[in-house]
Amino acid sequence: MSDPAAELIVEADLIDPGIPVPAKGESWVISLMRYAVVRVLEGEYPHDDVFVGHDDADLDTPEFRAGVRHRLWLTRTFPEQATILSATATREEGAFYCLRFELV
Amino acid sequence: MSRDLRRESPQAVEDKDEPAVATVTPELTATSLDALRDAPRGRGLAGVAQQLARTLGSTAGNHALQRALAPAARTPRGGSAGRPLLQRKLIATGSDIAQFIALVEPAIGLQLSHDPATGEITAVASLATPGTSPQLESILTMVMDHATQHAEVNFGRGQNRVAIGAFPQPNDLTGSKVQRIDIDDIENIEAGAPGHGLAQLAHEITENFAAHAHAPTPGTNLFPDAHRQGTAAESAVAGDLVAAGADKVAARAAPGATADVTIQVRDFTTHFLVWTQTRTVTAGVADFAVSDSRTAARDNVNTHTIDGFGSNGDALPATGAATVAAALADLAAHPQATAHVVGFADATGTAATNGPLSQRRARAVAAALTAGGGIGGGSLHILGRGATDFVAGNATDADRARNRRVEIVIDEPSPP
Repeated sequence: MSDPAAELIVEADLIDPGIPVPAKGESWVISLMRYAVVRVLEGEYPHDDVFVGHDDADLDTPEFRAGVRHRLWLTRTFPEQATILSATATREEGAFYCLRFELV
Repeated sequence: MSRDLRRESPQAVEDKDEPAVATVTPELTATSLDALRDAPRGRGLAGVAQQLARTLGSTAGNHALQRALAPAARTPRGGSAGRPLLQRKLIATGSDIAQFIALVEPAIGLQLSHDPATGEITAVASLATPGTSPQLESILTMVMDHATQHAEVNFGRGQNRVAIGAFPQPNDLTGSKVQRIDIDDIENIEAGAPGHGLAQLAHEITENFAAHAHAPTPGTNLFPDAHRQGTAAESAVAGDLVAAGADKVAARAAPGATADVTIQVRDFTTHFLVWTQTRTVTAGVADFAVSDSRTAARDNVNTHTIDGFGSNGDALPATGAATVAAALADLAAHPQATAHVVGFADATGTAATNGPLSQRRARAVAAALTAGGGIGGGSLHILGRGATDFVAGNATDADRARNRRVEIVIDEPSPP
């Protein structure tokens, strides 16, 4: 389960998939999704919600429907060239970039 | 606010570091595209081609040079002209190839032909009127004449999840190798911001071509480096067609009136490109349509300064956190704004050390800006300008400390 690049591994329920973004090309936008944290598997995270950016997420697929549970490998470091898009203002707990995930 | 923060300084060090990829071939490198982008305006295609030839040391540069020296008339090309037959490596599929050809021919000054059997697009003659973008001609010529490296593109309309263009997935090119380009998006950009649609075509084709330099290796992300090269090509063409010195350095996406609408902003240093992007889903196809494209002047939102960096140091000073927070508040309040993060040094030391030192200071501030995930690195332009533009003298410790600084210049597009 361990990933050396992951600062945090959690299981979380997808509450809000956020703003749909196109596939990468001229545009490289990472949209933030909001999850409810179910449990922390590695690392420390004291908050109930976590904002996560998935690279090239297709929101029209079942794996990004609200209500699904993901195990998420997370880092604070986003790709350098990417733009972050969020429907809500950044909160104190900030946001994470998803290195990989799987449906639980 | 229209100050060019990148080009004024002989010590300027631009932040272009990107993640390394596993396999590198020399055919299309950052250097070659930087040569295109940085070629002095007004040198003409011959100069660009000579530079290409020197840089590439390959057939691409030589053929660009050949074309530069060819008379601007309808002359046969290829075997019938007595030249050796070349491999043509721009391979196109889709419903809108004719629209692509109609768009680019006047810009490149060449007549193109598409072979439906092989998919190959070739240049068959020079037009009587010279092209308006020598950079685009050089890029397409390099692709078409390359001996081994392909660009594979599909020209269509309303393709699923495509806004302007989409890189092949998976991004190690072990599956599809085809870049999907929506010609309707290109046309809509071109309609409101002439030249930018063609520049984006250069981006998409170059991005795909750059990825084709690598052997597909499972798990290797070819996108970041290819994207950077696509951006360089886009800047070069925008420099020809939109504004001399145009250099795409940052991008931002702002939420629109509904979750399906975003405002897309591209910072070309000389100006902004802005358009509205709207998502519709029909029969399982999510189209990201482009509308209301325009160029816009730069309006300064605010400029924040963090000074007092240690001598020869790049650690954020104690006062920096509050300034970073203020800059982030500005960026949150102005969702279409981008930031140029510009580092400076005092007069101590040499140009060779002060350029990189000032860049490290800018990077330290950029890292603080992006740490919380509120703004992406793609919305920042990081630049070190060395020992230039002093705001104080250099005779005392206190004055030198004022010069050891980073400026966060936040600009947004002027309203329509």
